Amino acid sequence: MDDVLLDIVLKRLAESPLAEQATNVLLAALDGEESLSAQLGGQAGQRPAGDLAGVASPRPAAAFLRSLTVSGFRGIGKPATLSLAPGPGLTLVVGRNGSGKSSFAEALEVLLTGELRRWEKLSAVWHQGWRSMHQPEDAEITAEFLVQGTGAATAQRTWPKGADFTKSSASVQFAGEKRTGLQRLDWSKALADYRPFLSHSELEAFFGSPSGLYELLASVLGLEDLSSAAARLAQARKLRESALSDVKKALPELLGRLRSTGDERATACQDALTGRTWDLAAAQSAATGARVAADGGELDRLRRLAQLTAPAEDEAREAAAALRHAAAGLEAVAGSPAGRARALAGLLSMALEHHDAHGDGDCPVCGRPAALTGQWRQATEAAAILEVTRRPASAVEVRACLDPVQQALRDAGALAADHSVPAEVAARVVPGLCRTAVEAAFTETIWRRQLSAGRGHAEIEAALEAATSLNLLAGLALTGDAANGGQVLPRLNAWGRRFADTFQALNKGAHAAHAGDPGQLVGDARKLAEMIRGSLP
Amino acid sequence: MPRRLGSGRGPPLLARQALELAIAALWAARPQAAGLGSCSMRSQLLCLTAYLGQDTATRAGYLSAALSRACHYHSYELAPTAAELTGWLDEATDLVSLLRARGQA
Repeated sequence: MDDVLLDIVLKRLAESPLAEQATNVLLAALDGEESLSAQLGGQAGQRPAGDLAGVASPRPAAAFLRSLTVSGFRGIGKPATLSLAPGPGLTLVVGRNGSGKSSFAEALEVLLTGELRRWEKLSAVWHQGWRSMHQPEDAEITAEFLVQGTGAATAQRTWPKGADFTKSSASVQFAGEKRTGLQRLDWSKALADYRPFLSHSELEAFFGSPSGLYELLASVLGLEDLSSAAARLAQARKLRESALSDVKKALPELLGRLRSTGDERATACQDALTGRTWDLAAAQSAATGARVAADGGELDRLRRLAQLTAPAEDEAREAAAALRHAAAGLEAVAGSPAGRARALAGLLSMALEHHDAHGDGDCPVCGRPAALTGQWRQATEAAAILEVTRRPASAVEVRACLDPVQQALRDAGALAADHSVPAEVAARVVPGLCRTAVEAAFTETIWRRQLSAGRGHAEIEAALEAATSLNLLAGLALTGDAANGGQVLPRLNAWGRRFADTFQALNKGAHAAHAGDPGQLVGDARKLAEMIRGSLP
Repeated sequence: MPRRLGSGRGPPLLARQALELAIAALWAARPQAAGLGSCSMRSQLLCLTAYLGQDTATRAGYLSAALSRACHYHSYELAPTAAELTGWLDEATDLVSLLRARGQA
């Protein structure tokens, strides 16, 4: 049983306790088949690992990837860097086939794990062709992370000249510390539990059949333990229910036979077995003439065995035919593109329904706190899109083609340049777009600076949520505290009077039309955004 | 239609025109925005934010972009599927009636 899962189950049990016996059965089911049958067999087995107080299993430190630099690996020749805005949100890396997208993804996996899952099933040729043919000498992968609670860390994996894929060495260096082994990151368990990447082939395998999809999701999410425990419990329950119903079926006949005998012991048995609850002990002592312990031992077991009846052959045939028919129907739908799309759409719309019904909350699948927020739903709006292109000699280039700051500035510029837009309308719309750009620049900076300082994700998110005005946001970005709103203008003035003026114009622009030239405002906003992004450490 | 359009291209063309006409009607109903009707579609879509709010403007912007792509042949991309077309037409119907309601308000 996975410790993290067990921890979750124990926490839930602490929140909404079950009866003592049910708790023992549940924990035994989680522990395994043997524990469960021991527990149900009445052998007071010791409770499996952990107790209700909750076992603390340390979570790995959360981190955001800030950049990934790759050279001489797969489709990447000379060094190419993928820079990301560290912080939550959606980032798409796009590009044509063969442009080098997967090389980046696989480089990160190799950097952290030293191996590549996708290659496991491929022939040796793949394992030999991992170096870039345009840069066969040196291979190096470097990633910068911002780690919660610690700050910046740089991980690196290098290969000696001409060395095999497996002969690499890796290290990590936290800011202000000595270079040490990768285990300093303490991610090895997390990397094994949660595969770092879902490759295309793994995603494809998801859509084989609905039950296959569930099993794959469960295994990727590390939930098999829960489903196998549930299956064990269901199986144990089924056995007991069928035994009970067999007894109930046999009861009328038994009562009839008891009635027909005049024996007083039979009358005693009859009394014990009629009514809502059976007094088994009384019946047993009447029948055997002696008081027998509740646990009847061998005899009891034999009696129960004698009462088992197999289903009639016709019934079994019919049931099997019905099952086969249903399975064939399911198969027919599951393979079609419509079936796949439906399965995926179903999954996503269930997530949205859950959010609609229950509002913001923890993610029901992975348990990440407050993952289902309005922000998650609108993640696509703030998406950053990076395009990867590969030129001759495997020179890979990464270009931001949709970055929220640039997008808003470009829209504002286009509107300001369109002179057929009525001036009054432009004066109302352009400042809003410029403000959006500057806000995005502030937000990006806040994530970068606060994560570097080792703040936690939830803490930063709460601070951002509380920063409801441009001035508070600026205070948070410039001074690290939204309460320092008063310092915003002096700080901007220190950069130059123009920056402070632009900031004030954008602040006013949200409520009233901008008095000056919209084109000028876009240019000023661009300079301010660049300054925010570029000059804050 | 002057000539028969290839399958899949007609519906997005008509839907895009319906969307653009509904936006033009919105401007016509507001004196201070009257000149917007003759601006580029990009400008008009950007200005929608000020009149309809972020959500509706974003929907209109996306629909317009999707329909515009679907109106043309792309040598390296597949034509839109029937399901995509139906989705866009439903969205267009919805947005046009929303724009009409706002135009009258």
